[in-house]
Amino acid sequence: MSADDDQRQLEKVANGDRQAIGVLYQRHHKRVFHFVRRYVSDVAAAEDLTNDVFIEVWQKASAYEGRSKVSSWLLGVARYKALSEVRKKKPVHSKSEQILDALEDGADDPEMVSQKRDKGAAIKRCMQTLSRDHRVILELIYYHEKSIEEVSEILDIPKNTVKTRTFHARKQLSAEMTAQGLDRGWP
Amino acid sequence: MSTLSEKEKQEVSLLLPWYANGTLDDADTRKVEAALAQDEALAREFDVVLEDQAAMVELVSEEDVPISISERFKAALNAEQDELAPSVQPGETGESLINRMITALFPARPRAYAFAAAAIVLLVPAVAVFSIVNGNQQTGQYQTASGQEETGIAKTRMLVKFNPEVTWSDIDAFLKENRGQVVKGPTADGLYELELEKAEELVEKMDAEVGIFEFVLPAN
Repeated sequence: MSADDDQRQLEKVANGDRQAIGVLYQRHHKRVFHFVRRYVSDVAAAEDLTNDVFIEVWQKASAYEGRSKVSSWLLGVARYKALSEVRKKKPVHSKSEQILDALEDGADDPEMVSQKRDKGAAIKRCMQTLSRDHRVILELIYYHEKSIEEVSEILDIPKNTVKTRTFHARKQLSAEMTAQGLDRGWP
Repeated sequence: MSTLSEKEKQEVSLLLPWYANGTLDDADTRKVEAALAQDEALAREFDVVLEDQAAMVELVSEEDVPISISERFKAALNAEQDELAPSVQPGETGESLINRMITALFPARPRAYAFAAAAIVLLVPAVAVFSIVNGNQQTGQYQTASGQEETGIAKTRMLVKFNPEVTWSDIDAFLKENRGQVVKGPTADGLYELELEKAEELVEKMDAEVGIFEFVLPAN
Protein backbone atom coordinates (compact mmCIF):
# COMPACT_ATOMS: atom_id res chain seq x y z
CA MET A 1 0.00 0.00 0.00
CA SER A 2 1.52 3.32 -0.98
CA ALA A 3 0.44 6.82 -0.07
CA ASP A 4 0.52 7.75 -3.76
CA ASP A 5 -1.82 4.95 -4.70
CA ASP A 6 -4.16 5.89 -1.87
CA GLN A 7 -4.34 9.34 -3.39
CA ARG A 8 -5.05 7.90 -6.86
CA GLN A 9 -7.82 5.76 -5.45
CA LEU A 10 -9.29 8.77 -3.70
CA GLU A 11 -9.31 10.72 -6.96
CA LYS A 12 -11.23 7.85 -8.52
CA VAL A 13 -13.67 7.91 -5.62
CA ALA A 14 -14.21 11.61 -6.28
CA ASN A 15 -15.25 10.59 -9.82
CA GLY A 16 -17.78 8.13 -8.46
CA ASP A 17 -15.68 4.98 -8.82
CA ARG A 18 -17.22 2.49 -6.45
CA GLN A 19 -14.42 -0.01 -6.84
CA ALA A 20 -11.94 2.59 -5.58
CA ILE A 21 -13.86 3.19 -2.38
CA GLY A 22 -13.81 -0.59 -1.92
CA VAL A 23 -10.03 -0.60 -2.30
CA LEU A 24 -9.58 2.18 0.25
CA TYR A 25 -12.01 0.48 2.59
CA GLN A 26 -10.14 -2.81 2.47
CA ARG A 27 -6.84 -1.05 3.07
CA HIS A 28 -7.85 1.16 5.94
CA HIS A 29 -11.06 0.10 7.66
CA LYS A 30 -9.36 -2.01 10.32
CA ARG A 31 -7.04 0.79 11.35
CA VAL A 32 -9.91 3.26 11.39
CA PHE A 33 -11.94 0.83 13.50
CA HIS A 34 -9.11 0.40 16.02
CA PHE A 35 -8.66 4.16 16.19
CA VAL A 36 -12.36 4.82 16.72
CA ARG A 37 -12.46 2.20 19.46
CA ARG A 38 -10.37 4.50 21.62
CA TYR A 39 -13.23 6.97 21.62
CA VAL A 40 -16.25 4.69 21.81
CA SER A 41 -16.25 1.62 23.99
CA ASP A 42 -19.20 0.00 22.25
CA VAL A 43 -18.07 -2.27 19.39
CA ALA A 44 -21.27 -1.81 17.38
CA ALA A 45 -21.00 1.97 17.67
CA ALA A 46 -17.35 1.80 16.56
CA GLU A 47 -18.41 -0.33 13.60
CA ASP A 48 -21.04 2.23 12.60
CA LEU A 49 -18.62 5.11 13.01
CA THR A 50 -15.99 3.35 10.92
CA ASN A 51 -18.45 2.81 8.11
CA ASP A 52 -19.69 6.40 8.45
CA VAL A 53 -16.14 7.58 7.87
CA PHE A 54 -15.96 5.76 4.54
CA ILE A 55 -19.45 6.82 3.51
CA GLU A 56 -18.32 10.39 4.12
CA VAL A 57 -15.24 9.74 2.02
CA TRP A 58 -17.52 8.45 -0.72
CA GLN A 59 -19.63 11.60 -0.52
CA LYS A 60 -16.86 14.13 -0.04
CA ALA A 61 -13.72 12.70 -1.59
CA SER A 62 -13.31 15.87 -3.61
CA ALA A 63 -12.85 17.79 -0.34
CA TYR A 64 -9.48 16.09 0.18
CA GLU A 65 -6.81 18.68 -0.48
CA GLY A 66 -3.80 16.40 -0.58
CA ARG A 67 -1.99 18.13 2.25
CA SER A 68 -1.69 14.96 4.30
CA LYS A 69 -1.59 11.26 3.58
CA VAL A 70 -4.98 9.73 2.85
CA SER A 71 -4.53 7.44 5.87
CA SER A 72 -4.02 10.49 8.11
CA TRP A 73 -6.98 12.28 6.56
CA LEU A 74 -9.14 9.23 7.26
CA LEU A 75 -8.06 9.20 10.91
CA GLY A 76 -8.76 12.92 11.14
CA VAL A 77 -12.28 12.36 9.80
CA ALA A 78 -12.66 9.41 12.17
CA ARG A 79 -11.58 11.49 15.17
CA TYR A 80 -14.02 14.27 14.30
CA LYS A 81 -16.89 11.82 13.95
CA ALA A 82 -15.95 9.91 17.08
CA LEU A 83 -15.74 13.08 19.16
CA SER A 84 -19.13 14.19 17.85
CA GLU A 85 -20.52 10.84 18.89
CA VAL A 86 -18.89 11.03 22.32
CA ARG A 87 -20.29 14.53 22.87
CA LYS A 88 -23.78 13.21 22.25
CA LYS A 89 -23.29 10.74 25.08
CA LYS A 90 -21.47 10.82 28.36
CA PRO A 91 -17.75 10.44 27.66
CA VAL A 92 -16.27 7.11 28.59
CA HIS A 93 -12.92 7.55 30.30
CA SER A 94 -10.47 4.91 31.29
CA LYS A 95 -10.80 4.10 34.92
CA SER A 96 -7.31 3.04 35.81
CA GLU A 97 -8.00 2.46 39.49
CA GLN A 98 -10.88 0.13 38.74
CA ILE A 99 -8.83 -1.78 36.20
CA LEU A 100 -5.87 -2.05 38.55
CA ASP A 101 -8.17 -3.21 41.33
CA ALA A 102 -9.46 -5.89 39.02
CA LEU A 103 -5.92 -6.96 38.22
CA GLU A 104 -5.01 -7.14 41.91
CA ASP A 105 -8.14 -9.18 42.61
CA GLY A 106 -6.98 -11.71 40.10
CA ALA A 107 -3.45 -11.87 41.50
CA ASP A 108 -4.13 -15.14 43.32
CA ASP A 109 -4.94 -16.81 40.03
CA PRO A 110 -1.80 -18.75 38.99
CA GLU A 111 -2.43 -17.90 35.37
CA MET A 112 -2.58 -14.22 36.18
CA VAL A 113 0.62 -14.47 38.20
CA SER A 114 2.27 -16.08 35.22
CA GLN A 115 0.98 -13.34 32.94
CA LYS A 116 2.30 -10.67 35.26
CA ARG A 117 5.74 -12.11 34.83
CA ASP A 118 5.40 -11.57 31.16
CA LYS A 119 6.59 -8.05 30.58
CA GLY A 120 4.80 -7.61 27.27
CA ALA A 121 1.50 -8.67 28.76
CA ALA A 122 2.05 -6.30 31.67
CA ILE A 123 2.74 -3.39 29.34
CA LYS A 124 -0.42 -4.18 27.44
CA ARG A 125 -2.45 -4.26 30.63
CA CYS A 126 -1.00 -0.93 31.68
CA MET A 127 -1.70 0.60 28.29
CA GLN A 128 -5.34 -0.17 28.87
CA THR A 129 -5.25 1.94 31.99
CA LEU A 130 -4.02 5.07 30.20
CA SER A 131 -6.28 8.03 29.63
CA ARG A 132 -7.86 8.18 26.22
CA ASP A 133 -5.63 11.01 25.04
CA HIS A 134 -2.49 9.20 26.11
CA ARG A 135 -3.48 5.93 24.58
CA VAL A 136 -4.59 7.55 21.32
CA ILE A 137 -1.33 9.37 20.84
CA LEU A 138 0.80 6.29 21.55
CA GLU A 139 -1.36 4.25 19.22
CA LEU A 140 -0.99 6.80 16.44
CA ILE A 141 2.78 6.65 16.76
CA TYR A 142 3.39 2.98 17.45
CA TYR A 143 0.53 1.25 15.65
CA HIS A 144 -0.41 3.72 12.91
CA GLU A 145 3.24 4.79 12.46
CA LYS A 146 2.39 8.46 12.14
CA SER A 147 4.98 11.24 12.08
CA ILE A 148 4.91 14.22 14.43
CA GLU A 149 3.32 16.33 11.69
CA GLU A 150 0.68 13.73 10.93
CA VAL A 151 -0.27 13.27 14.58
CA SER A 152 -0.53 17.04 14.82
CA GLU A 153 -2.94 17.11 11.86
CA ILE A 154 -5.03 14.18 13.01
CA LEU A 155 -5.44 15.43 16.57
CA ASP A 156 -5.48 19.08 15.57
CA ILE A 157 -2.87 20.08 18.15
CA PRO A 158 0.52 21.86 17.75
CA LYS A 159 3.61 19.76 17.08
CA ASN A 160 5.18 20.67 20.39
CA THR A 161 2.06 19.50 22.16
CA VAL A 162 2.34 16.23 20.25
CA LYS A 163 5.85 15.75 21.61
CA THR A 164 5.10 16.69 25.19
CA ARG A 165 1.85 14.73 25.33
CA THR A 166 3.66 11.68 24.01
CA PHE A 167 6.39 12.10 26.60
CA HIS A 168 3.79 12.31 29.38
CA ALA A 169 1.96 9.29 28.01
CA ARG A 170 5.19 7.27 28.15
CA LYS A 171 5.88 8.47 31.66
CA GLN A 172 2.37 7.57 32.75
CA LEU A 173 2.78 4.11 31.27
CA SER A 174 6.00 3.55 33.15
CA ALA A 175 4.38 4.85 36.32
CA GLU A 176 1.60 2.28 35.89
CA MET A 177 4.25 -0.40 35.41
CA THR A 178 6.05 0.68 38.56
CA ALA A 179 2.78 0.63 40.46
CA GLN A 180 2.49 -3.02 39.48
CA GLY A 181 5.98 -3.72 40.73
CA LEU A 182 7.58 -3.76 37.30
CA ASP A 183 10.20 -1.04 37.33
CA ARG A 184 11.74 -0.68 33.87
CA GLY A 185 14.41 1.78 34.92
CA TRP A 186 12.82 4.71 33.19
CA PRO A 187 12.13 7.53 33.92
CA MET B 1 30.83 9.08 28.01
CA SER B 2 27.98 11.41 27.11
CA THR B 3 28.83 14.96 26.22
CA LEU B 4 25.21 15.93 25.70
CA SER B 5 23.68 18.73 27.69
CA GLU B 6 20.48 18.08 29.63
CA LYS B 7 18.58 20.14 27.08
CA GLU B 8 19.98 18.06 24.21
CA LYS B 9 19.11 14.83 26.02
CA GLN B 10 15.58 16.09 26.59
CA GLU B 11 15.19 17.01 22.94
CA VAL B 12 16.33 13.57 21.85
CA SER B 13 14.15 11.89 24.46
CA LEU B 14 11.10 13.59 22.99
CA LEU B 15 11.96 12.26 19.51
CA LEU B 16 12.56 8.62 20.44
CA PRO B 17 9.04 7.31 19.59
CA TRP B 18 9.36 8.68 16.07
CA TYR B 19 12.86 7.33 15.69
CA ALA B 20 11.29 3.96 16.56
CA ASN B 21 8.55 4.27 13.94
CA GLY B 22 10.95 5.58 11.29
CA THR B 23 9.23 8.85 10.45
CA LEU B 24 11.90 11.37 11.51
CA ASP B 25 13.57 13.45 8.85
CA ASP B 26 17.24 12.86 8.07
CA ALA B 27 18.58 15.60 10.34
CA ASP B 28 16.62 14.41 13.40
CA THR B 29 17.47 10.80 12.63
CA ARG B 30 21.19 11.59 12.64
CA LYS B 31 20.80 13.60 15.83
CA VAL B 32 19.06 10.73 17.63
CA GLU B 33 21.52 8.12 16.37
CA ALA B 34 24.49 10.16 17.53
CA ALA B 35 22.92 10.69 20.94
CA LEU B 36 22.04 6.99 21.39
CA ALA B 37 25.58 6.04 20.51
CA GLN B 38 27.08 8.09 23.32
CA ASP B 39 24.44 8.22 26.07
CA GLU B 40 23.62 4.96 27.90
CA ALA B 41 20.60 6.41 29.70
CA LEU B 42 19.06 7.43 26.41
CA ALA B 43 19.86 4.02 24.94
CA ARG B 44 18.04 2.33 27.87
CA GLU B 45 15.13 4.71 27.41
CA PHE B 46 14.99 3.74 23.75
CA ASP B 47 14.80 0.06 24.72
CA VAL B 48 11.73 0.94 26.78
CA VAL B 49 10.24 2.74 23.77
CA LEU B 50 10.77 -0.36 21.63
CA GLU B 51 9.06 -2.52 24.27
CA ASP B 52 6.12 -0.11 24.32
CA GLN B 53 5.92 -0.11 20.55
CA ALA B 54 5.87 -3.92 20.35
CA ALA B 55 3.24 -4.16 23.09
CA MET B 56 1.03 -1.52 21.49
CA VAL B 57 1.10 -3.17 18.07
CA GLU B 58 0.26 -6.50 19.69
CA LEU B 59 -2.48 -5.01 21.83
CA VAL B 60 -4.27 -3.29 18.97
CA SER B 61 -3.86 -6.24 16.65
CA GLU B 62 -5.57 -8.47 19.21
CA GLU B 63 -8.68 -6.31 19.00
CA ASP B 64 -11.19 -8.12 16.83
CA VAL B 65 -12.82 -6.27 13.97
CA PRO B 66 -16.44 -7.45 13.60
CA ILE B 67 -16.86 -9.84 10.69
CA SER B 68 -20.03 -8.04 9.64
CA ILE B 69 -18.37 -4.66 9.20
CA SER B 70 -17.61 -4.98 5.48
CA GLU B 71 -21.08 -6.26 4.60
CA ARG B 72 -22.66 -3.47 6.57
CA PHE B 73 -20.50 -0.97 4.71
CA LYS B 74 -21.59 -2.36 1.34
CA ALA B 75 -25.22 -2.12 2.41
CA ALA B 76 -24.70 1.46 3.58
CA LEU B 77 -22.97 2.33 0.32
CA ASN B 78 -25.81 0.80 -1.70
CA ALA B 79 -28.34 2.77 0.31
CA GLU B 80 -26.28 5.89 -0.24
CA GLN B 81 -26.21 5.32 -3.99
CA ASP B 82 -29.94 4.69 -4.09
CA GLU B 83 -30.44 8.05 -2.43
CA LEU B 84 -28.03 9.78 -4.77
CA ALA B 85 -29.35 8.32 -8.01
CA PRO B 86 -32.35 10.67 -8.47
CA SER B 87 -30.34 13.68 -7.39
CA VAL B 88 -28.06 13.72 -10.44
CA GLN B 89 -28.31 17.21 -11.80
CA PRO B 90 -28.56 18.03 -15.51
CA GLY B 91 -25.77 20.56 -15.08
CA GLU B 92 -23.23 17.89 -14.27
CA THR B 93 -20.62 17.03 -16.84
CA GLY B 94 -21.40 14.28 -19.30
CA GLU B 95 -18.52 12.17 -18.12
CA SER B 96 -19.57 12.45 -14.53
CA LEU B 97 -23.15 11.62 -15.41
CA ILE B 98 -22.11 8.62 -17.46
CA ASN B 99 -19.83 7.45 -14.70
CA ARG B 100 -22.65 7.70 -12.22
CA MET B 101 -25.03 5.85 -14.51
CA ILE B 102 -22.51 3.09 -15.13
CA THR B 103 -21.82 2.84 -11.45
CA ALA B 104 -25.50 2.68 -10.69
CA LEU B 105 -26.14 0.05 -13.33
CA PHE B 106 -23.09 -2.06 -12.61
CA PRO B 107 -22.25 -1.64 -8.94
CA ALA B 108 -19.04 -3.65 -9.17
CA ARG B 109 -17.04 -2.92 -12.29
CA PRO B 110 -15.27 -6.24 -12.58
CA ARG B 111 -18.69 -7.82 -12.54
CA ALA B 112 -19.77 -5.43 -15.24
CA TYR B 113 -16.82 -6.31 -17.41
CA ALA B 114 -17.54 -9.99 -16.83
CA PHE B 115 -21.15 -9.37 -17.78
CA ALA B 116 -20.11 -7.59 -20.97
CA ALA B 117 -17.64 -10.34 -21.82
CA ALA B 118 -20.30 -12.98 -21.24
CA ALA B 119 -22.71 -11.05 -23.42
CA ILE B 120 -20.13 -10.94 -26.21
CA VAL B 121 -19.45 -14.67 -25.86
CA LEU B 122 -23.15 -15.37 -26.20
CA LEU B 123 -23.76 -12.78 -28.87
CA VAL B 124 -21.01 -13.77 -31.29
CA PRO B 125 -22.34 -17.28 -32.02
CA ALA B 126 -25.86 -15.92 -32.06
CA VAL B 127 -24.89 -13.36 -34.68
CA ALA B 128 -23.07 -16.04 -36.64
CA VAL B 129 -26.12 -18.30 -36.61
CA PHE B 130 -28.38 -15.40 -37.43
CA SER B 131 -26.21 -14.35 -40.34
CA ILE B 132 -26.05 -17.91 -41.63
CA VAL B 133 -29.76 -18.29 -41.30
CA ASN B 134 -30.43 -14.95 -42.94
CA GLY B 135 -27.34 -14.67 -45.08
CA ASN B 136 -29.08 -15.96 -48.16
CA GLN B 137 -31.54 -13.12 -48.15
CA GLN B 138 -31.32 -10.49 -50.81
CA THR B 139 -32.62 -7.11 -49.85
CA GLY B 140 -36.30 -6.94 -50.56
CA GLN B 141 -36.59 -10.58 -51.50
CA TYR B 142 -37.05 -12.28 -48.14
CA GLN B 143 -38.01 -11.04 -44.77
CA THR B 144 -38.14 -12.64 -41.38
CA ALA B 145 -41.32 -14.37 -40.40
CA SER B 146 -42.56 -11.25 -38.71
CA GLY B 147 -41.67 -9.05 -41.65
CA GLN B 148 -43.66 -8.29 -44.73
CA GLU B 149 -43.44 -10.83 -47.47
CA GLU B 150 -42.92 -10.03 -51.07
CA THR B 151 -46.10 -10.85 -52.90
CA GLY B 152 -46.27 -13.20 -55.87
CA ILE B 153 -43.73 -15.76 -54.59
CA ALA B 154 -45.08 -19.06 -53.36
CA LYS B 155 -43.60 -20.16 -50.09
CA THR B 156 -44.00 -23.03 -47.77
CA ARG B 157 -42.92 -23.90 -44.32
CA MET B 158 -41.25 -27.13 -43.30
CA LEU B 159 -40.58 -28.56 -39.91
CA VAL B 160 -37.14 -30.15 -39.94
CA LYS B 161 -34.59 -31.71 -37.73
CA PHE B 162 -31.01 -31.25 -38.82
CA ASN B 163 -28.61 -34.13 -38.76
CA PRO B 164 -26.41 -33.70 -35.63
CA GLU B 165 -23.32 -34.10 -37.83
CA VAL B 166 -24.25 -31.27 -40.17
CA THR B 167 -22.46 -27.95 -39.97
CA TRP B 168 -24.05 -24.52 -40.21
CA SER B 169 -22.07 -23.99 -43.42
CA ASP B 170 -23.92 -26.90 -45.01
CA ILE B 171 -27.23 -25.58 -43.77
CA ASP B 172 -26.36 -22.12 -45.03
CA ALA B 173 -25.48 -23.48 -48.45
CA PHE B 174 -28.75 -25.38 -48.60
CA LEU B 175 -30.81 -22.33 -47.59
CA LYS B 176 -29.05 -20.12 -50.09
CA GLU B 177 -29.60 -22.55 -52.87
CA ASN B 178 -33.28 -22.84 -52.05
CA ARG B 179 -33.92 -19.24 -51.04
CA GLY B 180 -35.01 -20.21 -47.61
CA GLN B 181 -34.62 -19.12 -44.02
CA VAL B 182 -35.06 -20.39 -40.52
CA VAL B 183 -38.12 -18.78 -39.02
CA LYS B 184 -38.36 -20.65 -35.72
CA GLY B 185 -36.34 -22.94 -33.57
CA PRO B 186 -34.81 -24.75 -32.19
CA THR B 187 -37.52 -26.25 -30.00
CA ALA B 188 -36.69 -28.36 -26.99
CA ASP B 189 -36.64 -31.33 -29.36
CA GLY B 190 -34.19 -29.64 -31.72
CA LEU B 191 -36.76 -28.89 -34.43
CA TYR B 192 -36.55 -25.91 -36.76
CA GLU B 193 -39.20 -24.35 -38.92
CA LEU B 194 -37.94 -23.32 -42.33
CA GLU B 195 -39.60 -21.11 -44.88
CA LEU B 196 -38.71 -22.04 -48.43
CA GLU B 197 -39.57 -21.28 -52.02
CA LYS B 198 -40.69 -23.73 -54.67
CA ALA B 199 -42.13 -26.24 -52.27
CA GLU B 200 -43.03 -28.94 -54.79
CA GLU B 201 -39.48 -29.40 -55.99
CA LEU B 202 -38.22 -28.95 -52.56
CA VAL B 203 -39.81 -31.98 -50.88
CA GLU B 204 -37.97 -34.30 -53.19
CA LYS B 205 -34.83 -32.32 -52.84
CA MET B 206 -35.00 -32.34 -49.06
CA ASP B 207 -35.73 -36.05 -48.96
CA ALA B 208 -32.57 -36.51 -50.96
CA GLU B 209 -30.54 -34.36 -48.57
CA VAL B 210 -30.13 -37.12 -46.02
CA GLY B 211 -26.83 -35.61 -44.95
CA ILE B 212 -28.56 -32.44 -43.80
CA PHE B 213 -31.93 -33.51 -42.42
CA GLU B 214 -32.90 -36.28 -40.04
CA PHE B 215 -36.50 -35.75 -41.05
CA VAL B 216 -38.69 -33.25 -42.89
CA LEU B 217 -42.38 -32.49 -42.30
CA PRO B 218 -44.67 -29.92 -43.85
CA ALA B 219 -45.44 -27.26 -41.24
CA ASN B 220 -48.50 -25.81 -43.00
